Order: sequence, then C-alpha cells, then structure tokens
Amino acid sequence: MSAGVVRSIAVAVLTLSLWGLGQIVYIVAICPAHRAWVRAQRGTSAVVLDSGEGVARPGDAIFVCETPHHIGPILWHEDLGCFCAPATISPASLSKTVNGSCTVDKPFPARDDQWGACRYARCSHHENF
Amino acid sequence: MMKDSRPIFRSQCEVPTCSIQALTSALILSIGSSLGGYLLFILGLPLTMAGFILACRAALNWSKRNRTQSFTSINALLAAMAALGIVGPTTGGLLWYEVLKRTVAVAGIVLVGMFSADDDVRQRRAALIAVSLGFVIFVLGPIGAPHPPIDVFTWTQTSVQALLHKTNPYTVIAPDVYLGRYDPGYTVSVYPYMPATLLAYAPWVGVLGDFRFALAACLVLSVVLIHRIGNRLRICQSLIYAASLAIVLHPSGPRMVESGWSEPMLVFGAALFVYFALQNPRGVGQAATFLLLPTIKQYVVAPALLYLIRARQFARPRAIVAAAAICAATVLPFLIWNWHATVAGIVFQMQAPTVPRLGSTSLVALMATTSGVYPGRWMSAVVQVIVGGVAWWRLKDHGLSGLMLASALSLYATFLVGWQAFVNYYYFVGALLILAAMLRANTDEAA
Repeated sequence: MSAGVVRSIAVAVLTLSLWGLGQIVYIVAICPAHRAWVRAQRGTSAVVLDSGEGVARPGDAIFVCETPHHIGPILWHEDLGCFCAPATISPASLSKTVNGSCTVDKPFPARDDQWGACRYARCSHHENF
Repeated sequence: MMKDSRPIFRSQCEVPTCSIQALTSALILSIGSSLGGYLLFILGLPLTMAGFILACRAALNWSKRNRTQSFTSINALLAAMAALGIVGPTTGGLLWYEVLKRTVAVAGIVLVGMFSADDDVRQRRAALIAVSLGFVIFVLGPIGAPHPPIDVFTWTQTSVQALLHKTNPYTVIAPDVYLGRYDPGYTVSVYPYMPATLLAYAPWVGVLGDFRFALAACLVLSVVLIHRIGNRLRICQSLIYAASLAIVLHPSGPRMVESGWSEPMLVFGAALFVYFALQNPRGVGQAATFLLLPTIKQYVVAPALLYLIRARQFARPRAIVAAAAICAATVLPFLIWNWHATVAGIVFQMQAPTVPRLGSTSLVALMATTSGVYPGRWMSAVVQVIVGGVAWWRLKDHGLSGLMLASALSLYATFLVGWQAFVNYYYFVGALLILAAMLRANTDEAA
C-alpha cells in the first residue's frame, strides 16, 4: 500500500472520528430533549417544545414521552420529547413502541395552542401505527 | 471521453497560491455544508464560515503572483469528503443503491490516496476511475432513490407532467409528500421555481419519466466541461483532476440528483459559460448561458448584475440583446399563458416564508435557534448586492476569474445570512469557486 493511500485512509479515519465525536458532543452538551427533561424535573418550565418544523398531522394526538438516550450501548441520559401519533393510540401502546413512558399532552392539538408541554401543535417525532 | 494529450509531470505542476486557496475553500465548503442534523451548528456552520473566510483571503490575494506546488491540503480534504460520503444521510434510497453509494465512497478514499502519488500515470488512472464511479452513482440516482421524501421532487415532477399534458404547471397542486407532518413556516401552493426549469426537464420526463436524469446529465457534463476548460487553459493536470474530484466526491453530490435540486443545472450552466467564453469570448453563447442562470434559480441576482455592469468587457451589445431575448423566451410564454400564477410561483420563495428555516446552514438559523431573534428576510438580498459589489470592485481587472470569484462570494455571503440556506445552494457556490480557481491558474491569465 502506498504512502498516499495510507495518508488518505488516516485522514478518512480522522474525519469519521471527528464526525462521531461531534455527535457525542451534541448528545452530551446540547441535547434539547434532555434539557427539557431537566427543566421538567426541576419544575422550572413545563414547556417541552414550542418551535421546530414538525407538527401534528390531521387526526394526531400529541404525547409527552420520557425516553432513554443511548450513546451506542451506553444509557447516557433521559429525554423528554413531544411525539405525534394517531389519536386512537393509547399511551401504553406508544410507551411500548418508543421504549419509554408516555402521557397524552393534547388529544386535539391546534397550531395556536399556547398551553401544555407541546405548544403550537409541534412535535419532534412522528409515530405511525 | 477525457483523454489527456499533454505529458505534464507532477513536478512541473505549479499553480498560484490564491488559486489553491479558492479550491480549498470550495472543498471546506462542501464538507461544512454537508454536515446537518446534530452537527449543523457544532461543525457544519463553523466549517462553512471558515470556507468563506478562506474564499475572501483568496480574493485579497487574487493579484499576487505567489505560486505553490503543494496539493497536500487538497488531497486531504478530498479524502475527508469521500469519507463523509460513507455516513451521509439517505434520501429514501433502495438498499442496493445505498450500499453501492457508500462502497464507492470507500473506494474514493483509496483512489484519492492513489491520486496523491507522484506517478503521473497512476494519478491519472485513479482520478479517472473515481470520476467514472461518480458518474455511475449520479446516473443511478433516480433509479436508486425512486421516491425521495422531499417536496421539491413531487412539485417538479407534478408540474412538468402537467406541462406535458398542456396544463399550466403553475396552476396544479402537487400532493403533500410529508402528509402534513412538517410546517416550514409556509405552505407551498404553487410550483415555486422558474419556468426555464420546467422547459429543461420536460424532455427528460417525456422520454425517461423522471426529471432527475437531467440533473445527473448536468453533473456528468459539468465534469467533462471542467476537463475541457482545464485543457483549453493549459493548466496542470493535477488541478484539473482535483477540480473534477471536487464535484464527484462532494459528500452531498448524489443527494443533488436524488432530491431533484436544480443546482446541478446551475453548475452545468456556469461551466458551459466559461467554456463558451474561452471559445468565443464576446459571443452570444457565453452571454446567454450566464444570463440564463437567474432564469434557473431566483437567487442568482448579483452575478447577473455584475455581468451586466461590465457587459462591454464580456460581450458585444448584440450578444447581450440576443441573450436577453433568449432569457425572456423562457418566461414570456408562461406569463402570457397565466401571468398571475407564473408570477406567484416565481416570487413564492421571497414572499411566503414567515420564519427562518432552522435547519439552514446560516447565521440567521443559528440566531433563531439560540435566541429566537433574527433579521428580516431582505437582509440576505442586500448582503448579496453589497458583497458582490465590493468583491467585483476588487476583482474587476481579473476578467472571467474575477467574475466567477465575485459571484461565488456574493452568493456565499447571502446564504450565510439567509433564512433558507441548504447544501444545494452552497453546491453551486462551490462550483463557482472551483471554476474561479481554474481560471486563475491559467499562466497568462488570458481568461
């Protein structure tokens, strides 16, 4: 194998390492879902999500779910997220699907909702059943 | 296809330092703009900013005569680009295609290593294999990702099919590919792109059933043109191949085709412009090609203005008039057919958004995400004109290379402060930087 190829592979390994490290830094230091979980635990704010591009589809309810966040096989922390799923689904079914603990936040979300944990019909995940 | 006629040795390959800086900025930009998701504000935006700073530095050095033989940073960045192709996001691709795409990315790493060799034959062979593999991925894109979950695809496909059925493409409504799950701050109610795109795509939909084959063809032809331009300028082979590899190893290159983004057409247009300008410097071909760029994507404003301000430098008045007539011919029939719907479609992106797109590689998206405060949408238009004007003032004595670099800087700046700035936008900026680097590398700088 030529020196050039070895150098190229080394650069690629370094690049992918930085890529992976960046993902870990995000989860450890930034993760908005974990920050929402911390806020809820401390009781400083009940708002989990009030912005973003994900919204409830017609017929969706919004659930608040506490889910484990792993880095590889390691459980790193708990997240609190807003999940959109068909209104016909029970929190127990959704909890099983997302491997967490879910409660209904809004059975009939609307874009002008200014109350509860998941506002303006925003959600970070969509579940199909 | 791309035969080399001149025996140029790597040891003789010496190019202006500013040219290498422009190419390096294009490569850094391709990496930065491809990093979205978790990495958007951690690595993506900072690298994109770094690319802009380096492009500005290249512009400041554009008159300097310093030359370099070092391609080390270029080779390293090409290897990094290939590596990111392994972990790039999917656009709803079929399993075989996703596996093939990532296998080619792995092969790209090895081929870049071979490309960095001192042996000219080995270098050329590695580059040609990498370029050929890139072509295969581009052409397979529409087949490998038959139903990409992106609205651009459904809108374009629906509107072009309407045109082929003699229905006004600006009056049809495409199905919501997201099924109501996304609200980007506006609801698309009309084909939000230029009529020229519909005209360009129509034959491809008519014959092959999918407009994205046109995009694949554009990328393939762009690389062929880059090679021809390089040979015409008599610049060193290493730079020509590095420029070609910059297109085919772009971490998001395959996504340009899969998603149905129009930027490959802009890249082809810019390369064709340079090719025509070198063949017939003041002819209609180059004038028409350059002025057609804003008829493909609305944001190409400053480059067209810069060209027109110095029109005498680039084309005969008759050529400008003929070019303007060709541009008008792409829009006028649609205006006559239904001016209200056509204008609504053309200005949609400028009027409809109510908030910045938070997934954008831009400072505005960062501000909106972290503080909820952000400037108005017109700031990016103002920045484009100001940066374009300043850059052009600095580069106006450098002819084509100055025009390309000033155009790249104006668009680069506008996207950095834009409400909406995605990898496809920066893809075109990168191509302009690559073309600027090649033109500047010309020894007598006749271009």
